[in-house]
Order: sequence, then structure tokens, then C-alpha cells
Amino acid sequence: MKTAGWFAWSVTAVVVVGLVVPLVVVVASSFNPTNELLVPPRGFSLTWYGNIFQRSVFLTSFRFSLLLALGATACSLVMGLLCAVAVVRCRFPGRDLLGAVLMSPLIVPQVVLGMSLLIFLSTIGVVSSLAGLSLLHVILALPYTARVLIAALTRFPVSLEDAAVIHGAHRAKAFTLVTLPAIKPGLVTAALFAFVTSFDNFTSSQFLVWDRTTLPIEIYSYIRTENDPTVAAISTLLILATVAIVVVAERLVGLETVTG
Amino acid sequence: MNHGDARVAPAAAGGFAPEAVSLDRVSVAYGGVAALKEVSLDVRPGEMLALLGPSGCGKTSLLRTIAGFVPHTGDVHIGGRRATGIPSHRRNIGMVFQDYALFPHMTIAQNVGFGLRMRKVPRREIDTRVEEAIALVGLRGVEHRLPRQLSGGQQQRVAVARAIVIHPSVLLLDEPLSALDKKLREEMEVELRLLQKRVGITTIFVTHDQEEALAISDRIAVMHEGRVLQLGCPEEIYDAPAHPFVAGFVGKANRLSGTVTDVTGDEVTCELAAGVRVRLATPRAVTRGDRLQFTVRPEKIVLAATGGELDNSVEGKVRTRIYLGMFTELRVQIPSGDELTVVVQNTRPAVIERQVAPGDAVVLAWSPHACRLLE
Repeated sequence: MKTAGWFAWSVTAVVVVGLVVPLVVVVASSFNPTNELLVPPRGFSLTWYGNIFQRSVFLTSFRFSLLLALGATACSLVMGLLCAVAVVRCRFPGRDLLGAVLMSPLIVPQVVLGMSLLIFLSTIGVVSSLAGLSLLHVILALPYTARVLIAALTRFPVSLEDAAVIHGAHRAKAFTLVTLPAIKPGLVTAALFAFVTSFDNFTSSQFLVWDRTTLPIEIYSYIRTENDPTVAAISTLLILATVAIVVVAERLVGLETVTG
Repeated sequence: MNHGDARVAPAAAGGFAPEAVSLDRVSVAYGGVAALKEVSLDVRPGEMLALLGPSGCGKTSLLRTIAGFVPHTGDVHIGGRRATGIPSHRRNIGMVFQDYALFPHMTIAQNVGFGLRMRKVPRREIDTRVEEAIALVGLRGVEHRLPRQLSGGQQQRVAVARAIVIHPSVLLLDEPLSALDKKLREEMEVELRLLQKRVGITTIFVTHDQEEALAISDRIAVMHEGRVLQLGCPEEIYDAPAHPFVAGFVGKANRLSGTVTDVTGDEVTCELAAGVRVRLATPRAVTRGDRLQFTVRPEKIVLAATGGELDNSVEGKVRTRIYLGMFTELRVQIPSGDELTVVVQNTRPAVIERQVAPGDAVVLAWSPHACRLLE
């Protein structure tokens, strides 16, 4: 194999720096003792971490976002698995179309998606953050779960399931005893994607917030009025949590790469 | 013995011993393309039957039909009972897949015991039967490892153990040795054959390797384009091919054709192009003027100093020579224009005997009984 040249190295360096520097800035500024977002911080203080817990709006919206993300993950995982089985295993007219429709939420601008759901839901009289956002987040997460699980199932040799069936397992039992454990990395990866997609979403979620808000929207409304490092502290905690989850998942089951 | 049997409907009563597996005019089509065309086949209890043919001939479809994996028309009977309509998991079949299909997240012992767990066999009995099966395939000591920690040959043995531990009515092997290298494959051929005889399970195996089929089966069904062309023991298939395709696919064969010029008793004289005359023994009646097609195996032809003692002798010129150690393969052109492949055993070392070289004039000789008339 050819070793990477200076150009490849420079591109890699720019990308890595571009990805990491903003994170460093956020983490560093969260420790400022004063109410300014300064880098490097003027001293070290956990004041703003304390402030998160002083303001109940953050905790309430965090709980709501968590609930929403867990629900969207579960639903999109089940739906994504069923879609993947259909697309990979079955031959039927419109199979390619189904694949395209599954990916469409990635292409449609989020503003359009949020707006159209808003119009649709208010027309039929559903005025609830929970119902609207649940629907939206499942739609947003489905392309990711379907994509990852299609890749995992394509790579999974059907002969394994046939072997289970011929030696005495009902087809459904063979699927749960052999296929599901074999594609576990894919399931975990899909779940992570779905969770992050839902938890993070801001753009289209804004349109469907009625009685309750999500954490990203709460953070946004906070920085419109206040200019202190509280949001940097929240971001730091979220980064920590994300890294912890990914590391644990990688250690326990390994993660599926999104190719194929 | 297991719940699978209870669901299998008995066949119509008859006085004959049931065939282990019986196919009656079975056809399979994938999206309008026929993979099997009205195949009827009876497999005897305890025999090892090879389904031999090139890729796409339908041999794997036939195996998968017996397994119950493909929709088909016609009837399949297993152990004298009608299996059509019975789902795969109730057919009590053991199967070894081409890629072994071992469950990657289960240990070897769990893999082997899978079928018994599905049959709700008591735990204690599972343990002893798994231990026996693992010992039978010579793998003691790897019970607690995972499939990926074993070599290809070992994985193959695990797959065999998993298939026979359930005491199946029939064992299906789908190109079981094709993933192994040549040396190991030949060892496993012998081992598989001995194991099958010892356990006595009716076995059907799919292969595209004619040497493998000849070496380990009791009978061979040669398949081509969705049909069984010939069913017989290895000697019959090799020495009495009933179909031009069988003659060409199993071993090498020189194909000749000519017109009958003389008939004496059960021998006829056949004239090829340019007046080359060949005598051949024929089991069926022919008359003067008939066009005949026949084959001669390369190893049945010898190089003769002068012709005569083997009845057929034809002069020819060596075109190519391939030295293969144990024997040498020659392509010899005879006056009729046909090019015959001749295999010469290297009984003497090349250093003390000059080998025939391209361009040499030689005399080919063979017995009239070495000629096989094609239908």
C-alpha cells in the first residue's frame, strides 16, 4: 500500500483540528469563574455547572429530550429492522422505491419537514409536543437505523439462519437465536445513531414545540437572553456522556461500520 | 424419537422397503427460470449419493428442495413419508453448508447441541450426545472455543458433528469440502466416507468435483440443465456413460463419429473421415450405413510399436505433450482429422527412456471394448 503523502496528511490535519478545536473551546470556557465565554478561562470554577441544576428548565427539558430520544430509538430500531429484512431478504415490486423513500428524510430540508408536519398536525388537531416530536424524531432516525441494519443484514450470511432452521428451529426462533445476536453490533450502532439524531435535533423540532421543549431548544432560548458559560457547561456534560456511551458500546459489542 | 416424526404423514401403504429419500417429478423455478425439470430420484437407505454437475445444473436446488427451503411442484418423500408441505425445521434433516454456517456467538459445544436443544432433549442427554459427536469427528478438547478460533478443517468437522448429533433421517452436504485446500480435502474425503459408513446415515452430497464424487459415493447422479442424466455407481458412470454430457463431464473422453461399414457378431467396423477404420464392440444392434457416435477414454489408448494385438491401430502425429509426473498427456492427430488425447503411464524414469516429443509419428492402439457407444 502507498504511504500517505503530505497532501493527505494536511487534509487529515485540517479536518481533525476543525472537529476538535471547537470542542476544546467549549470545554475550556465552561470553567470560567466570571460570566464571560473566554478562552483560555480566567481561572477555574464549577459555578456554571452548579447553575445548570439551579434552573429547573434545563432539567425538565433534558428529561423530556431523553424520553423522546429513547422512544424514537426504540420505534425506529424496530421499524428499521423490519424494513431492512424486507429490503435485503424479499423480492417485491417497489423494493428499490422503498429503499429510496427510507432515505428521503436525509434529503428533504429539515425546515420543510418541520413546517409540513406542523401544518399537518394542526390541521388534524394534534397540538402536543410529545405526539408531534415523537413522530418527527422517528422519521428523522429511521434512515439511520434502516441504513445500518440493511448493511448488517446484507453482510449476514443467510446460510446461518438456514442452518438453525434445518436443525430444528422455527424461522422466527432462528431469527432471534442466531440472526439478532450476529448483527448485534449493527443494532447497537443503529441505536446510537437514532438516539443522537433525536437528542440533538433542533431545526425541525422548533416547529413542533407546543407545551414542552427539548434541551437544544431550551439552550437556544437561554443564550438569546443570557451570555454566561452555563451552556458551555451543559455542552461539556453532553460531550462526556456521548464519549462514555460510545466507548462502552465499542467495548461491549463492537460497532458496525456504515458501509456496504 | 423426536417431535418431527409425529407431523410426517405416512405414505400410501406398500410392501416395499421405503426409500430413504424419494423425489417424484420435482420441478423448481426461480422467477420463471426452471432450475429443476421433473426430477425423479430414489435414494437407498444408508447410501452415499453424489449429485454431480457443473454450476447451475440444479444440484443445489435439488438439495434445498429436500431441505424444504424452496417452493416446488411434485412430491418429496423422506423415510417413506410425504415431506411436501412439512416445514424445514420439522423434517429431521442434518445439513452441512458450504461455508459451514457455524453460529459465531456460540461455543463449539453449543453449536453441536443446537439441534438437540431445539428438540427439547433433556440437558443431561444433550451433554453426552454432544460429547459423543465431538469425539466421533475427532475434535475432543475444543468444546469451549468459538468457531472463529478453529481452522477450516476443524470447522468442517464441527458442522458435520452438529448435523449428525440429531440422528437425522438424511444428511445433506452442500459442497462440504470445496473450501478446503487440496491436501486436506483428500484427507477429509476419506474421513467423511468412513464416518458415513460407520454411522450409516443416508447421505446426499452436492459436488462439482468429479474425482470427489467418484472417490466417496456409492452412486452418482450426474445432473445437467435441471435434469438427472444418469444415475449409477461410479464405475458405471465412468465406464458406461449413457449420455454425451456424462462422458465429457466425468473424466476425459475422446469423441469420434463415423459410419458403419461392416457388422460381425457383436463387433462393428466404423469408418471415420479419410478412410480411418475403427472396430468397436456394441451392445445394441446396428446396421450398415448407421451413423455412430462413440467415446474412447484417454487411458484406454496405448502407444504401440506396431499395431495388431489390440485390434484397433491408427497412425498419428503428436501435436502436444504435457508431462504430469505420474503420467504424460499427449494430443495426437490421426488422419481423419480428429485429435485424440492419450495418457501414457510413466512406468520408466524419463532419464533412461526418451519420451515421445511433438512431431513424432506414433501408432495408437485400443481394444474394441474400450469404445463406448453414445445414445
